[in-house]
Amino acid sequence: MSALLLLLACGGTDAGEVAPAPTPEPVTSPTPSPAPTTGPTTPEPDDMAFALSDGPVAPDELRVVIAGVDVLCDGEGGAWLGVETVGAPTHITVTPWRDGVAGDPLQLELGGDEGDAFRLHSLDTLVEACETTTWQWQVEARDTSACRWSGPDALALAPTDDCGA
Amino acid sequence: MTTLLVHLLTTSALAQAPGDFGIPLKVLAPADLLNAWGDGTTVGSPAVASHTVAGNGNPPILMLYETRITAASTACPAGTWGIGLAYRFGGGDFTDTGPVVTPDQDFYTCVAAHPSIVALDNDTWLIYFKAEQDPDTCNPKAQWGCDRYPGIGRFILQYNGRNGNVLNYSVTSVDTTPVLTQVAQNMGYPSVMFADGEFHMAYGQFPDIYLTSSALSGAYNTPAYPSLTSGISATGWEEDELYTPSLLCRTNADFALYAGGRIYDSTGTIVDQGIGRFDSTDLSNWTEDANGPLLRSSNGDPALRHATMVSSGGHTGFGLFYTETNTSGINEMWLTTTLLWDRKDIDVQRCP
Repeated sequence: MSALLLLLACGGTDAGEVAPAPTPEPVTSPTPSPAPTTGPTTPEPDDMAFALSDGPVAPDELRVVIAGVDVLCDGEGGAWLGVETVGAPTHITVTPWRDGVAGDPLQLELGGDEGDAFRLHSLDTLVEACETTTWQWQVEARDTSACRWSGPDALALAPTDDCGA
Repeated sequence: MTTLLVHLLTTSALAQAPGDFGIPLKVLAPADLLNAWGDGTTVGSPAVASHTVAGNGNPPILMLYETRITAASTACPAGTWGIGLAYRFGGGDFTDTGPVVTPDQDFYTCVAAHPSIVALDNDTWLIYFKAEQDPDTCNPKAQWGCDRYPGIGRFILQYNGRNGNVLNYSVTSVDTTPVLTQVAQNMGYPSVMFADGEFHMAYGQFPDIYLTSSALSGAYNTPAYPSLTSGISATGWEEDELYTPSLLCRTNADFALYAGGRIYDSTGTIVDQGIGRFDSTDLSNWTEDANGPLLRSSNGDPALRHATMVSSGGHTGFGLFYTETNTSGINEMWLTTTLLWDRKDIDVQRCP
């Protein structure tokens, strides 16, 4: 009951939504109940508007985004590095990190077609200690960029540059 | 105040332990669609996300949905279907913006339906959908071949910024190549989250639920075995089928999968269906919620189709979007929520 009083006193926190009128079938409620509504309890702008592009846009009209990254270690010192992007990247690098120290950045070859919304870019390379390497991915486009960390220390390193893991 | 009190009385006083869902609210009907697109018979398969915009305390809820465009034909026995986008800023009905995908290219000449949405960042969403093509007019040289169900399509929705009070969004064309192309059966209702560096997709393929994972959004392998098999619950609520999964991440090692379950009689008629929850820490081993199904038609709940579970407030509140057929045979979208559902704080299904 105290929780109920607290919620009522605070005006609620935009609690569960209910129908404005009786509905045809109950949900786990064997008896019907009145369901008047007074609308939201917190002030909200009533003039927000939503606009959707008139048809699909070209990839170069999108802000560049990293969709996914992947590293395949072959166990013999070789690795396949891949990054999937949305948008129109112009330059992609990935930097190996070991023991908290950055190595030399590697440049990935741009893949896919410029007209594709999803593009996969990759590099076959030799990597020391591939399985224990953490990777910092950086994608540049005409006027936007994106970054991502992956690998064993990704969560620890991600806050250092706000790139996310 | 009255709203909250009514909800408290209708849920807490009458609540069943697993669910605590309140009186449902109809949120979208075929008659609500922009310029009356679709054939007026159905809206369904909701895929829902919220968009937090700096400076706007009233985040829009985005909902992708499917609707039928034309009736069944020889080429397209299920009819032709497309995907639309609707939104709302407050409670109540969604506002439709019209179609974002209609049957078109090689691999979805009949159907683009069963959308699923996953955030790539704060302002960008990847949308997957089930595709169906006409095998008689397909491109035989395409890598996905001429199966009627060639895989899953994908496209992007992105926020472009704000002009005054107008929030602007764009969609891309559908990627020219489907993913999960080895699924040549009638699978459906993909649900996707991103966790621990990978995309994870659950989908129904009668009578079970399958799950596949990939670090890249277009590189899923087709699983050989289901992740959740129907008919294993002691209560028997999913005796004959598990379907319409909703895959949610609480952390990168704590997952929930909500799924529909059905029981059929000997004639193939559905005699009961419900929604239950399974939990996992590794996406391989799943444990059914000890309380049993949350909702069940045999308990007086609606026949929940296309159910999509959405959580809010760090998995403290829940909204269940679903389709229900009205007395005229029209499929409409409904929402039922728990007491702590907060439409301004919908959880993003991204757990790095």
